[in-house]
Amino acid sequence: MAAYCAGGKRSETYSAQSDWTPRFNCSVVIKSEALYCMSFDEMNHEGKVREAYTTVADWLAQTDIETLRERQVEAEAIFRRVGITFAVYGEGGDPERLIPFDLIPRVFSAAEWQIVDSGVKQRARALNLFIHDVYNDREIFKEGIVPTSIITGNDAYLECMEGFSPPLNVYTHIVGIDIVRTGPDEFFVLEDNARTPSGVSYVLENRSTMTRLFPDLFSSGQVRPVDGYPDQLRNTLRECAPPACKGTPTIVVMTPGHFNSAYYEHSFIADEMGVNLVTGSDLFVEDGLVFMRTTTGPQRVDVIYRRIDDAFLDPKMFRPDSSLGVPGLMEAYLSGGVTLVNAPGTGVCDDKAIYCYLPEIIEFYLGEKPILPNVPTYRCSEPDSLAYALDHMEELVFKEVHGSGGYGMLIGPTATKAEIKSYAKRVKETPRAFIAQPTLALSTCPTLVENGIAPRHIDFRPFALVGKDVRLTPGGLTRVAMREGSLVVNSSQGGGVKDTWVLNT
Amino acid sequence: MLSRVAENLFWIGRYIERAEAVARMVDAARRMTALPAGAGWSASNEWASVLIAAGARETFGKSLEDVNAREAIHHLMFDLENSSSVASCFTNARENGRSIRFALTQDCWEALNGAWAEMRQLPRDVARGGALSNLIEWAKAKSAAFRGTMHGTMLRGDGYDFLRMGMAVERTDSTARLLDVKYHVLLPSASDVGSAPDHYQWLSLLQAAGAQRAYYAVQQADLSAQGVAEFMILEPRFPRGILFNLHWAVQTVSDLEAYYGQESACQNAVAGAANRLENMDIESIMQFGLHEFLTEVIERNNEIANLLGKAYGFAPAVEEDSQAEDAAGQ
Repeated sequence: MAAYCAGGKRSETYSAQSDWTPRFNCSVVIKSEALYCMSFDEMNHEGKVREAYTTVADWLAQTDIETLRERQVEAEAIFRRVGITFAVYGEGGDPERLIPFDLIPRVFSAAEWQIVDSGVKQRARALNLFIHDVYNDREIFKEGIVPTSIITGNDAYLECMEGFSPPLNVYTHIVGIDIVRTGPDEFFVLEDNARTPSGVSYVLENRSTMTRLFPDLFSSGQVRPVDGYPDQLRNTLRECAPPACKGTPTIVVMTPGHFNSAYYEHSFIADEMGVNLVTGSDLFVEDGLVFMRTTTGPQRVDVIYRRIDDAFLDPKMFRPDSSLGVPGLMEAYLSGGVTLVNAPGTGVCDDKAIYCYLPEIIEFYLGEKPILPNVPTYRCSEPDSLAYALDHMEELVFKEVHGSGGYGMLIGPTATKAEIKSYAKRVKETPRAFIAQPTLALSTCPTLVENGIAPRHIDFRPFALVGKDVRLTPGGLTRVAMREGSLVVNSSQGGGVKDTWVLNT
Repeated sequence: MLSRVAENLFWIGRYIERAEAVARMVDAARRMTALPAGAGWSASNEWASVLIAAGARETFGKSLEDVNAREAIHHLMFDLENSSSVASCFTNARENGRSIRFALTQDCWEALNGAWAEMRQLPRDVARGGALSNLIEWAKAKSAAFRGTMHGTMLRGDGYDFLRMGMAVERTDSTARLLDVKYHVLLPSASDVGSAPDHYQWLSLLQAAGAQRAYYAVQQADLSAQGVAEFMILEPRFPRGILFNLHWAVQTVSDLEAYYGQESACQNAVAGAANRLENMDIESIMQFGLHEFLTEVIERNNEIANLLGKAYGFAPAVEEDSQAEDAAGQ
């Protein structure tokens, strides 16, 4: 996913702000012009420090920039030593990179969190009801609310899931909802990640690093803890035990291996839950049940939290060349011998073509208005929208319907004429492969950069857990576009992360 | 415990020991080449012999007739094409650790990760005086650091036992190989046996094994070929000795049996190998032929490793391929 912003221009940074900079013990002068003037700043709004940021602002005022930098180096050393890295193979350079960690937290007041919490839970419920409907009765299509073509042309749709109901009818147990903010009360959902969303290890590690480096910041007890996540995840997975499981379910986390970019997270989650981290070669299927190979012989496995894509799960069912999966796994799953989390085929609900129907989907299944609105979206598959989008390319952001990771986008306001021209050609060739959205002025948050502390654009990914209940840890992953003026927060594109605070009040 | 985890721990133990063993072999060659060159034999001999003993003859890829010392050192210390080079060993140990990250304590992981990170920054030019010794000391220190953390922080249980088994098996193997270096260093003629170069070569081996003092303390005799071989093979108190490590393996397998509450299919082979050595003396070994004896020790030792794997379900090694890179999006 990607976030972006555009607006007018200014060369103003935090140092130029009136009321808290004088207390600021560092000089911040960024000469170049940035696109921050339209943006809502999370900390400093209309010349005042917003209430939720009082602690952060006081702390920044008392801390000189050199100390912050020293701590930043310390934080990176911790990440490096513990091995919290992001593996990038095949690009040359260091194969294991650090995601830049910014020390200055992003803060939600209790009231703001209330909106996010209820909106995310609502969305997670609706997504699961929708997937079940897609693979069973298809009422939403019969009612004409969503066109069937959206499913028939979708690579993520799996025929083998038709007529199957997983335990509790839950498909996407772990959902990452990407949210952006443009004003005090304006939150938008930018994207749903219903397959194998990653990033939760950073939520926990960022907090653990912050409490280690700055224990005083947490001494008032105002910041809600995030370390309940592993217990909540374990409980969610247990609740989804398959019919064949009697007694306490045995849970494993399944990884494609340590070459995968998110490997650290896979092993971290397994360890935090106290369960085994397995690869496909550790598992085998016999008589419709799944076993892992242990030093004392085969041991039954009931729930697999798999962090491997559908196509690689089972060479008998999907890609025959997959050496990462387990032959016969899908058969065991469909006969109730094991639960796969998230369910195969959940990808039908999270591409950008479905995204624009989410408001209707929420209303249809829950009879409720969406608490968190979508970003208005033009579907290029529709002639009117296509015409509008092509006429307004300089103002819009274009995305590939099936793209992810911030690749393949066009950001109109910052693109060159030539880029726009060649992109327009692609859109005209296959309109249904694209959507367009207006440029949002993404909110900014103070961030430690080369020249001092300056605003940088952020987005937010909370992780909802769906079992018998929908659970949401008070926190999530705040991503920040570290480069000045940059609108792209993806880790694969040089984005960084921040600790995210949810306050008790 | 997952069989794969047991297997990786076993191999971490092996790689950590192998890094040290290869460094020690390089040290032996370094000491030998420091001797005044005798008439008729060239110093390149030592490097050829270490390449052979370290099992790196094929990966070295060049004739062993006239080995260039710098090339040999590079191949043994840094070359990732050589799976037993010191750099490969630390890389492999760390990769094995990374793929079972939490079966190790944080301290053990940091020892592996730290050694790997430092290794990537090491100066590669060993032509300068003292640079090679520093490198050898570095490798020994990193290996020792891992062992120390392991003994100091790992829970006593099956994981600890598999690490120790890897160490015991690798040490048996590497001491046999270190001794064999001497076999491959061909003296120009039979009449040179017992000559000054011969004497210095045995001394170099002892020194590389860190056993010079222990040798004199135990043997209470002058240096002799037979004495060195006896000490390194049969001395039950010398921690790099072959008999010592077979005893260590017997003890470790017993610990595993106690931990799992069931007999291990590899105990017979381990106990048998130890028993055989207990009943041998150095005369019969020399009569059998030192090189032939060492070759047999290495083969039996491999068999022990295979049986251990069989007993605890080690899957055949499956190479993870590039699919893993892009098999999990979002």
